Amino acid sequence: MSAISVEHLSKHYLIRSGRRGQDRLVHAVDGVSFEVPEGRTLAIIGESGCGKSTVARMLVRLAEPTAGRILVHGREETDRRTIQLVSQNPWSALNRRKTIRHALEQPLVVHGLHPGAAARAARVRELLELVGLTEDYLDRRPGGVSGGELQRVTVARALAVEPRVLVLDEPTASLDVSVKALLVNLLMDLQRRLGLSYVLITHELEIARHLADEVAVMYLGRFAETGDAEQVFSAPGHPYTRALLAAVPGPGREPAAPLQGEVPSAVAPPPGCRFHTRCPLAIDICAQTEPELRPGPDGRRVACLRQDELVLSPDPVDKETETR
Amino acid sequence: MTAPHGVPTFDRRRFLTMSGVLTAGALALAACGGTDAPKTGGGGEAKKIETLTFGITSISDYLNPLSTTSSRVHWITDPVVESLYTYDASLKSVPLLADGEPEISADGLTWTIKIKEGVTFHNGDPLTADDVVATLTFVTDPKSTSDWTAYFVGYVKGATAVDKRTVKITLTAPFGVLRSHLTNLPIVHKAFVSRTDTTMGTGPFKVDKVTQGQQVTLSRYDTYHGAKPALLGVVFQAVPDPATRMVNLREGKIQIMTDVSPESVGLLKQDDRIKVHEVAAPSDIMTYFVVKKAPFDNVKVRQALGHAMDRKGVSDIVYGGTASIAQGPIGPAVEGYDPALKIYAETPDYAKAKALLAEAGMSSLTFTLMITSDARMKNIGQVLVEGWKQAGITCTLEVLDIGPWVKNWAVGEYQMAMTGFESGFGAGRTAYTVLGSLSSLNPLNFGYKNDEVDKLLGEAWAATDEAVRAETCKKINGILAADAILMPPVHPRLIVAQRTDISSLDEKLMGVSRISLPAVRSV
Amino acid sequence: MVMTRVSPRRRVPRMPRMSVLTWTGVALLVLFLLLALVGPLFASAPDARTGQTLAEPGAAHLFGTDHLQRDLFARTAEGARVSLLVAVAGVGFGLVVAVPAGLVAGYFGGRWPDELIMRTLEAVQALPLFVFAMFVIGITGTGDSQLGPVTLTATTKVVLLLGVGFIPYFARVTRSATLVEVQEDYIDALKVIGVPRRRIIAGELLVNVLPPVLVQAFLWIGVAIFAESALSFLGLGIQPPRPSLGNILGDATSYMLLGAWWYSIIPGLVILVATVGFNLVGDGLGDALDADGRH
Repeated sequence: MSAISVEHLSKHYLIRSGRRGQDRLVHAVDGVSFEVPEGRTLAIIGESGCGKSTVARMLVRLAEPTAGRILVHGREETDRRTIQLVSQNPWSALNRRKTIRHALEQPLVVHGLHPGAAARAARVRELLELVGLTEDYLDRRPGGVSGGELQRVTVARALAVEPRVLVLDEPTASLDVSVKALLVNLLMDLQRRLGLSYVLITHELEIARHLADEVAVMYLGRFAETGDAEQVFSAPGHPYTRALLAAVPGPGREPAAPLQGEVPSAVAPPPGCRFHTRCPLAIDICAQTEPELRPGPDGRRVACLRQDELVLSPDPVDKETETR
Repeated sequence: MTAPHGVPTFDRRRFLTMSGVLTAGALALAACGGTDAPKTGGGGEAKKIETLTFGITSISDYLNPLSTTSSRVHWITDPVVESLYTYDASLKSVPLLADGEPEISADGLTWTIKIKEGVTFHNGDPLTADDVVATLTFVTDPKSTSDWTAYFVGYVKGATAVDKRTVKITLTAPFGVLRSHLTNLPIVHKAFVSRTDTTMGTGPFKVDKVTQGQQVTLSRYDTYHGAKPALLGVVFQAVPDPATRMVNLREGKIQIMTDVSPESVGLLKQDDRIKVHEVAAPSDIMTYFVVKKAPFDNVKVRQALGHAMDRKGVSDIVYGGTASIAQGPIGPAVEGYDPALKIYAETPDYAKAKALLAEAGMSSLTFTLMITSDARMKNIGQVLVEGWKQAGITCTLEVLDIGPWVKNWAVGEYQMAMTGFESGFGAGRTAYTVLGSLSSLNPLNFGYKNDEVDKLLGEAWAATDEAVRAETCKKINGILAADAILMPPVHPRLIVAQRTDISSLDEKLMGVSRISLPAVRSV
Repeated sequence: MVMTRVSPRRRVPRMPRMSVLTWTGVALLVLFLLLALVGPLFASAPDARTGQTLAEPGAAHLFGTDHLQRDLFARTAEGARVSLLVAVAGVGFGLVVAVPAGLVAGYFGGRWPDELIMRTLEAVQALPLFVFAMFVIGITGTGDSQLGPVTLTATTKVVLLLGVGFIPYFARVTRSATLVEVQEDYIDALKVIGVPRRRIIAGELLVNVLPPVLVQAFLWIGVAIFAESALSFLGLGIQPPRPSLGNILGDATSYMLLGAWWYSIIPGLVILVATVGFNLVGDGLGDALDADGRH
């Protein structure tokens, strides 16, 4: 059974207008589904505004889904503890006026775990050890701690309540390059030791490559492509994925030209395929019919009307040539 | 300083500026204020004063001499209205509007009074018995809420006009003191007895103009039946602040000033353009106890309070030494004054007070003293509180405005209460106001019952002979002082200041609270 | 697993230099506090009679004597102490009510609890403190009042009235600070962990929101001293014989033209010193807080 399973998750916001009948609906997330097996990592990647952070917020119950279900081990979990969050900015994620000891003990106190001062202190030491920090951090406040170490503290805090799933929302985005790797290693280590499932939200493709077992590419509230990480990264199926990957400099490769066109607004998604306004491979039918995620021959699922035609190659296809 | 905290810092700046301005203003005022030596001698122009300006603390909104006995109203109406009888130079009661002495029946229950002929009101109407009857009816009607009812209710059954010039008053019991009351009660035109905006009398001055709360102007009544006054008019001006009143007097803006604060007496006396009258008058510090409840149900407790009272302190500090030490309620200007009475010492006798408290079974005493909020009472209160402290008596002051004070006083919601009151216009020289509340029948008497006092009071008010009355009141005074039931600390004097460019006011008449204006002329 | 050594602490930003104005404020405040807190210990009894009426300041009586022969230094010192206590109590009471209200309003920013609280505060604020105080004291009288089983002394009433007057301002400051603070990620983080709302507001938000509120409170102590003095000056505040700067000043005005300049200038000066002192120091604190910044 999957650790976490999401079915047709949607989040629509109502923007009220002063004038009657002018209220508008923002389709932040539209019918997204996925599963993450135990001990595995799903990375959700995409540009800013695609809705991935909203998915993260719904997973940790900071936002109520407009539609859809979130199941943990097959059940709609009501205990907050099972899915925990590690967010981007560690200085903001911790109360700057409280000590690290307080930050780590508080989850224990709130849920009555390891009752008694001594038991709690022991558990806090354990948590620090898990993330590779020494006891002298306990009496310090976030202000005097470096970013990488502080992010480890937030991880420790998240682990304090013994979750099954960690939602990591841009966990390395605020960290120095040299430190990112350390955190990624820690996360991988913890996954092995504790059997955690991760939902990794990131725009940093290199990080996703390292951590992810599965990948979902999100565009304008929907998944464009999902599948095994290695497959998607080495041979992307969806035109959007290709464009995304090509924009990142790789070994021996210059970044390609950025996508043409603007990201449409999530208030009124374009008719048909949401990507068609910027897709170099778009044809007339793309503007009329919305593609569903369809499994391809290698187990990957792609939402593109022209999926079968496209030759799977690491290079982007020019609109002029259309096909290879 | 921006407002990142979302607070209008403008408010704080304004307070700062305001306080700066206020302080600067105070400094400036003080600097140009009273440290100047008083200038001697006037400017030199001997301008003849034809209209006198009289500076008074406040002017009531109700200008009816029949609704109150307060001097606040009567100083203004005194030149306008007249009574059946009046005070001569030696304060003896002589006929004025009455024609001759009253005829009293043998059983003392009927008084027949003849009215003088040829007297007219300011509107030309002749004075008739109807006006007298209307006046008497108004003041004996308990529903009229007049101060005067206390003087007549219970004794006066009714008044009738036998003919145009004769009035008959019927009584329930002999009421010799009625003569005094009729020497004080002004006769008002029958159509004006309940009017509060103005009044209509037979006096040497008539009401010209009333600016409510601020000013009343009187002008000479040229067809007055008696001696015509030298002044053409009088203006009563409300000047609430005593310091301003004093400045106005010294500058000549007003010629007469009342409510002179004792502290300024010294300064005024140094100015030879000013004459200060300090006269023993019936101005009293009324004290009341609720006797039916603890702690004042025990006479020893009251006596302890009396012995521990710092009379000299009040006289020296509040009255600048101008007040006389009090033993009982009757002061030097009132009938029945006993200068030989000496129960209480000038300065507190703490040992005796403590001993009396011990006899009453108490080691200390705690109570609340309810006073009115005028400055004089507040000062008296504070001096008394401080004095009582040393005897282990803790007194808390409850300072109320006159309205709430009267409300509580009327229903007995207090332990001890004090206020100032001038009784001259109501009681004249008699002790009627001062002793009145001690009758056990009086609804404002909360628990004091002394049969001897009741008997003597009945005798006092029935007596027609003043000497007999005075002697009876003296006895009552002694009993009350010993019972520590009416306990003023001092008898204050009436202090009136005037300029020397008008003739000197009659000090004898001040002995019945009168500031007599008809005789005043420019000098 | 690599154990990380403790990395060197980041420097805490230094406090900015205090301006001349702030130093002036400190000096004034120190003077006032010395008078109010130390003065009464060394002065004679404020109600004791000295035998001299309205004596000028001199060797025997530092500030002279008043119209009831009381030493003015003793009365001013005690009055300053009373005014200070009443001001602090009033501000304290205001904080006790306003801070929770502001916290809740800011936490629920834009939703109905915020609306409800802010509308209520606006209603309270619409009435000027002074008019309201005069109204209340006009109705209940200047002495003790009964409110059910509780007796409210004149002093208590002043404290409550001042506090009520301050509530809208303190609540607004708290709310503003809370609105900003609530956007920090740790609020969400705590929700995810499952920390109950009550605990987030009182345990975590409060400690971050308090500093700007306390700075405001400090400033308003000066205003409170001034307001209490004004009320007592009019006879509506602290009742005699208990001295307060305002009621001493109120008594003094009758004697100004008689030449007793010290009687009114001295308490007036003390009020000024207190108000300006608290104001300047409070501003300085506020500046230091801003400069200190968030991280």
